[in-house]
Amino acid sequence: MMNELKRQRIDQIEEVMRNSFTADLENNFDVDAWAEKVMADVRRQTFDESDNLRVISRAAWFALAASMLLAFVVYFTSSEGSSFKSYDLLTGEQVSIESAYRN
Amino acid sequence: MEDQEIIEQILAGETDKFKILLDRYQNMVFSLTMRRVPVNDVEDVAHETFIRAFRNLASFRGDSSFGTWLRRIALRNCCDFYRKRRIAFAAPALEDDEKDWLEAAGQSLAEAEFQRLADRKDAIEIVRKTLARLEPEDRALVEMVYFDGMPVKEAAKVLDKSVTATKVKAMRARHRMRSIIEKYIT
Repeated sequence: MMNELKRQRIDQIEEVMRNSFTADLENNFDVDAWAEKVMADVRRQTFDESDNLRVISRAAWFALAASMLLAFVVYFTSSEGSSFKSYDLLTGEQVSIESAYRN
Repeated sequence: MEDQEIIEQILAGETDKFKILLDRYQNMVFSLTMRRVPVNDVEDVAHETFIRAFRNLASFRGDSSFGTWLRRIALRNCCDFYRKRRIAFAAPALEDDEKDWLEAAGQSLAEAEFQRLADRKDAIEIVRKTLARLEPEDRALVEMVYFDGMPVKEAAKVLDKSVTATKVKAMRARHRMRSIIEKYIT
């Protein structure tokens, strides 16, 4: 079959398919009974709170970061944290940063 | 009462008001679903559409009408119907009378003959089986863009893709569909 003729036929079949697809269909469903079932199911549902959860999650991360920052600040301003520990390169002993500088 | 007003009441706890939206849009959802999924699954898919809409009601921002938003959910739901079943079921084989239908449609040139074929009760089933050979998303695109005449921009929103990607994908999907038809033309 010539390509042009073949193309025309495919166009025509496509048109038939489109017409079938868009044709009015008879609705033979018992819509009232169906609607009852949907409503019964709706009453058991809860709203999807994913948006709210995202906000909560963001708040949780923020709180975690803030508390870590606070802990960091508290540690380094405390007497224990203010004297940085380091290692003496010759002896391998743990020394405070002040004494390391002094040495 | 406007849709938005009803939605606000539902979100405030008046769940039964959802029935108003159900009554208002069930025909649209049924009509759209009936064209896309096998008759035995229409009620379940339409049911799922309304449940999804209800659960996501809080995220409806009113950028489009509720009808447009619900339509998008219904279309996505029909696409998901085939995605979920893809692994479980292979595309149904065309039966002899369905092959005959395609061949006859391919051979006849007269408008009246086309009308006769299109009017056949099983035509929609044949269309469905032919489309079942496409990937779920390709199928949805052919149905939305080429059969329903939906703007590519809107189809892109349904599939959550860019307009350019949707345009290219739709063209490829149509090409695949035409290749399937071509096999039946001698």
